[in-house]
Parts: sequence; C-alpha cells; structure tokens
Amino acid sequence: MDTTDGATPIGSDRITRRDLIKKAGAGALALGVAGAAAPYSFAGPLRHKGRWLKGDLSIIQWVHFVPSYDDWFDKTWCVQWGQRNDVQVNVEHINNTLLDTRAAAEVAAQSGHDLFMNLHPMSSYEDQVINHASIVHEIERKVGKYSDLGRLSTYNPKTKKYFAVSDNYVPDPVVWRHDLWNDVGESPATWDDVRKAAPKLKQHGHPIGIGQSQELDSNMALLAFLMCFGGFVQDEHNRPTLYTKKTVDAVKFMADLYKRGEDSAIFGWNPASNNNYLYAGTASMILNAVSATRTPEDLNLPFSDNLWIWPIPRGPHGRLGLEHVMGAYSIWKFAKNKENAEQFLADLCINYKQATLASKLYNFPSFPGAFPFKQIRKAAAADKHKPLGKYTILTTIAEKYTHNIGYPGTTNAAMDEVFSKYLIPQMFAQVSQGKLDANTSVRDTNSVVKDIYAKWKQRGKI
Amino acid sequence: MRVETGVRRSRYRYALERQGVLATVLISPAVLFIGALVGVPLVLAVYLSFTDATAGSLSGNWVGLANFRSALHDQVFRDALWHTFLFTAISQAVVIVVAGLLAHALVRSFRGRWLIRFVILLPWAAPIALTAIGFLWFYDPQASIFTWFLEHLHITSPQNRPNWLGTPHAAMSSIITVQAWRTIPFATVIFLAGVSSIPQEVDDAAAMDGATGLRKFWHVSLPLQLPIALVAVLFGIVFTATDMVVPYILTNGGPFNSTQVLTTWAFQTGINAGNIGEGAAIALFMLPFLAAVVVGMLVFARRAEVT
Repeated sequence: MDTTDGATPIGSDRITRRDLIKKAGAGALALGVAGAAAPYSFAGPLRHKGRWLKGDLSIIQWVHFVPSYDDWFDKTWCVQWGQRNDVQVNVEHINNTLLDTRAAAEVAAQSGHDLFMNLHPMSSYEDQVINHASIVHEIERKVGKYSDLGRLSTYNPKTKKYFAVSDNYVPDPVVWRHDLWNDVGESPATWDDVRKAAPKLKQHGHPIGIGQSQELDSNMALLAFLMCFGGFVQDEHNRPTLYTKKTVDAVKFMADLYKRGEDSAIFGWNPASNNNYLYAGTASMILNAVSATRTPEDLNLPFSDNLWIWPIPRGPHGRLGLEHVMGAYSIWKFAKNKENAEQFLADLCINYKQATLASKLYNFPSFPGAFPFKQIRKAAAADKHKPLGKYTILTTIAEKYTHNIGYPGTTNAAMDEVFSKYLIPQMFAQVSQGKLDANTSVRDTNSVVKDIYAKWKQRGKI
Repeated sequence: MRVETGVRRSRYRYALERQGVLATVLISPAVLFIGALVGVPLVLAVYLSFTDATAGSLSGNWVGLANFRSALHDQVFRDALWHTFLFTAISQAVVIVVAGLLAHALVRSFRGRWLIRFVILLPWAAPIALTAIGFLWFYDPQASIFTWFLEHLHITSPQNRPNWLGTPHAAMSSIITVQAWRTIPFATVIFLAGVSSIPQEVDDAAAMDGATGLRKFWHVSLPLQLPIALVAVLFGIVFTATDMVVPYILTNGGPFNSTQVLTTWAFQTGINAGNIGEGAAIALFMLPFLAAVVVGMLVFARRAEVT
C-alpha cells in the first residue's frame, strides 16, 4: 500500500466504527460492573465501636418550626438510641409542604424510608402501612393510655386498624396583642367579643388575622371556628353533616367579621402569612401554635411581652379547637427495617418528656402519661418570658379544647380529602368576597363533601 | 462450507459499517431512554385514569370512563379547564408581542447589545421554583415591592392596597404575568434567530420595491420568520398548559379555585387527596388538546414555510 501521499493507511491502525462501539461498550460495561460492585467491596468502618450492627433505620420528617427540636432529635435522641440498639439511624428532614408528595412517591416506588412522619395522619395510605396496634399497646403498657385525640386520629374503626402512631400534637391557641385589645377595652373571650372589637382594632390599623385562603392555617382556623358554632363536616359515625343552619350562621358570621375587621390580604395567604402579619406588628389576633410567640421572643420584638395566648374564643356551641398540627409516624409495609422502626417509635413515645422540652412546649405528647399535664404545667410556669406563666394555659388548651380533624368522628380518608381540597376555606371565602350567599355556598360545598364520603364509603374505608 | 461460514462471519463483522445498522444501534439508547422515561409513565397514566386507584392502593379496579365523567360533572374541573385556556392564551399572546418587539430591537447593532441580550435571557436560566418564590414575595400582601412603588407614586394608598393574590382577577393576572415573564426570553431567542436568518438581499430587494415599515413587516419579514416563530409559540403553549409551578407556588389554585388550572387540580386530586385515578384522568384531559395543537401548528408551519 502506498502511503507516501500522507493518507491514513487502511489497516490495523485505523479505528473502525465497529471497533469504536466495541471499545466504548467494553469500557461502559467495566464501569458499570465496578460501580455496582463498589458497595460490596468494602466492609466499611464500624459504626458503633465494639458492637456488631443489627441494621439500619431511615426516618423522614419535617424541618421543625422550633430548631432546637431537630438538634435534640438528630444529635441526641437518635445517636443515643442507635448506640443502645446497635442501629445506624439516618434522619432526613424536608419542608412540611413536601411530605405528602414524598409519601406518594415512596408508595408509587414501593420503596422509601422505614419511618415516615407526616403532620397529619395518613389515612388514605391505610393499605400501604402495617397495623400499628402492637406499637400502641407496647407504649400503653409503659406509660398508660393513648389520648382520645391520638386514637381518633390514627385508628380506623371500620377496618379496626391503626394506620399510624401519633407521637405528638400541637395545641392551637389564640395569639393576641394585649396592648392593642386593651386600648379598645376588649378581650377575645368569645367570638362575639372578637366581632365587637374588630372594627375598632382595624380602625387603629390592627385587623384580625384569620385567613380564608387555600392553605393549612386557614383550614385549621376555619374548621375550629365552624365547630364553635356547632357546624361539623361529619358526625361521630363519620357521616357528612355540613349543611345545617349552624354552618350557614357561622359562614355569615365570618363574612361579617371580615367586612368589619379584616383585610383582604387574608384571601391570598400562605401558611407563613399570619405569622408575618403578627411579626410585622399589624395583626391584633391570630390562631396559631406557640411558634408565633417564640419567634418574637427570640427576635426581641418590641411587642413580644404583649403577646398573650388564650384558648379559642367561645362560640354559641362552646369552645372547640383543633390541634394545629399532629405528628404521626407510619411504617410502610415495604419498609426494610420494620422491627427497628417499631422499636424506635415505641421508645420515642415512651420517652416523650425530652421531646416536649426540646420543642419548647410546641409538641405535646399524644400519650399523656409520658409527660403528664401537671409536669408540663410546671415546666411552662418556669418559662421566664413575660407575662410570666403565660404558657401554662397551654395545658388547659391541650387537655380541654383540642380535638382531632373530623371531630366528633375520626380522622379518615374522606375528611382528609375535604381538608386537602381546601373545601372549607373556599366555602367561607366565596361568601366573604360576595361571590355567593352563605346558604348556597354551604349547600354546594355539602354536595361535594357528600360525593367524597360516598366514594370512600364505597371503597370500604369509612 | 468453511468458506460460507467465513463469509457470514465477515458479514456480521462489518455489519456496523452499514449505515442502517449503525444508525439503529446509535439511536436505540435514546429511544429506549425516552420510552422508559416518557412512554412508560404515559401508558401508566392512561391505565390509571381508567381505574379507581388511590394513593394507598395503586392497582385499583377498572372503572371505564367513570373518572372522566366525574371530572366533567365537577364544576371545579370545568373552571380549571377554562382557567388553563385563559392562562395559556393570554400569557402566550403577551409573549408573542413582547418577544417580537424585543427580537426586532435586539437584532440591530448598538452599544451594550450583548449585555441587554444577557439580561433578557436571565429569567430563562433561573430555576422556576426559585423565581416563583421570589414573585411570591413581590406579591406579598404585607410587604409587596410592587405595592410600595405604587404607593410612592401615589397611585394607591395604604388604606387601599392592591391584593395581588387575594382576589380572583388580580390573582389570575399575577400568575399570567409571571408565566409570560418566564417564557419571553425563550421566545425572544427563537424570534431573534428567525429575524437574523432573513438574508440581507431580501431586505434590500424589499427596500428597492418601496416596501417600508409595517408593509415590509407584513409582506416580507413576517412570512419569512413565521415558521421559526411558530416553533416558539408551539413550545410556549405546550409548556404553559402543562406547567403547574407558577400557579401552585403563587396561589395554590386560590382564592376559591379562581386560579385552579388542570395541572394543579390534577395534583390536588391525585396526590394531595389521594385519588390517583381521578387525578390521572384530569391530567390526561390536556393530552388530546395539546396533541391537536402540536399537529395543527406543525401543519401550519409546513404550509407557511418559505423555500
């Protein structure tokens, strides 16, 4: 072959397409095999000195609103529990608004964390989780009975299954500015008092801050408000009961309260908006957990000493509040380390005193025996923030005025759907904005609610 | 015999040298990849839409068209369908006008042109979730920078503040504005490519024939850039109609479902409320519509093509 013209000779030195693909394929195969084998190539360091590991435990939960809780949970509780039980505990924290999506993804993939914590009991995933009855019974053996609130939220009487275990719930008090209310000579003891004071407070530039938006806090506040007027989404047998005169009256009352003493901003709120409304010095009253008072204390805001907390105002039907959020752990059927998860959850609930203190009294134990109300009251009384002893009322709120979503029935998949679709805030907002009259709004919402209940009943879940 | 085997072996040996075989081998990974990541979920979604699958029980029973019938009877769904149309049509109309103007401005040579082009492109480069959260702050009921400007210009007062996300019309306008804002850079770049591709000779010929201004734009520039501009419009419609980030982050469908679009309603029904079957049916309502849009636009683009 003549190569004097400088052309590349056709022969062994030339890389053909076939060679190229062969070599690239061999390289990719080698990399793949090496990569796949890597986890098995090394035994890895011993995770707990002198002990042979029994296994792992993966947990997913929210980023707590009180950062000291996550510090305690990750760096103290999980580490110590892991050492005691020879288990490597891995905790992943994600934003609370992402928990539902993540749960759906784990179920779809049939793979995920061993312990899944959500801020509401995941009743719609009942078929995907183990029956947690044995965990509940073990905890009850050690610290006494599960609270009614916890049981009604995590037990399905129809299927006789515990689909979750609640470790905690968060009381939802009224947080109000004592100085501003004092100026107008009122206090939020009843909803009538609130309506009476609202125009004066708004005139002073400090409206009431109860949201009517498609978000968590509006949902909780309006459901609780409705209950104070005797309006309930369902009865104790989990049958829909929304369309009543009491519900219509409640909707009219709230529309009136909005017109007299609220700002139109409440229709566009997200879960942080009512907190910000308070921190900005604008709101005279909101319904929120104690994180709303802790932040102004931490930031030394000028009005933090004037932030008082009271139980929800009394309505014609009484003083009926809801938990602000509820911590509820579930163990998937497909979890890899079920035994570790069950033991961890039981131990956490049994030793909940530390958790409540680490959360600065944000988390209350769902098993009251783990940290009795008397002791919590004592801890609250020791709080040095002004007015002194203001947090002691939390135990009264928790004990007497905190109910589950779906009260007087149980928290179930149908109620969960009503909640997730924000039907209650919509029912209120369209009347407050004058789009519909109260009767039509309640009647239309009731029709949607009834369809939802019929569907879940057909599925055998209620 | 030995000779025949040798021939066959050599045929296989050089099979990859043949264009057809090599092309198939090279394209197969991409086809498999797209099939696995797009085809399988699509088929699964279609299957789920005919079942009563819930988040807790993914298999579900076959229910035929029940989910579609139920969606059509639902007022929120019908509203969401209308909102999707409004959201897409208005935002894309704004995009076409603004991107067209920007492209014609940016094709000219002037000092600092690259900087202006860079700044205009930025919204496209920024992650949408992040920018949507930024707009959430801009529209904040208590601390909106837009409101601050309006108050300083004495257009509004503290007693009469605009409620950007709290009333139906304002909320819809707000999400349309953000969607248009994020789509404009992409459309501008495509339009710019279209304008730049018009040969100078065509411009010169048009000028010699006395065509100027709007006449030149209508009879010369527009037909020439139409095929490429249609690509931007097509993408814009499909991206907008299938997007949920902007409405989800800014309003979550509120107030009282007045900004609910099909994607957010499908998400709320399927994931949040746990009705996977119904959610899939709602999401799939868009599929034939968007497929028709794609086919229609491609046909139109082909007809408008200038050779």
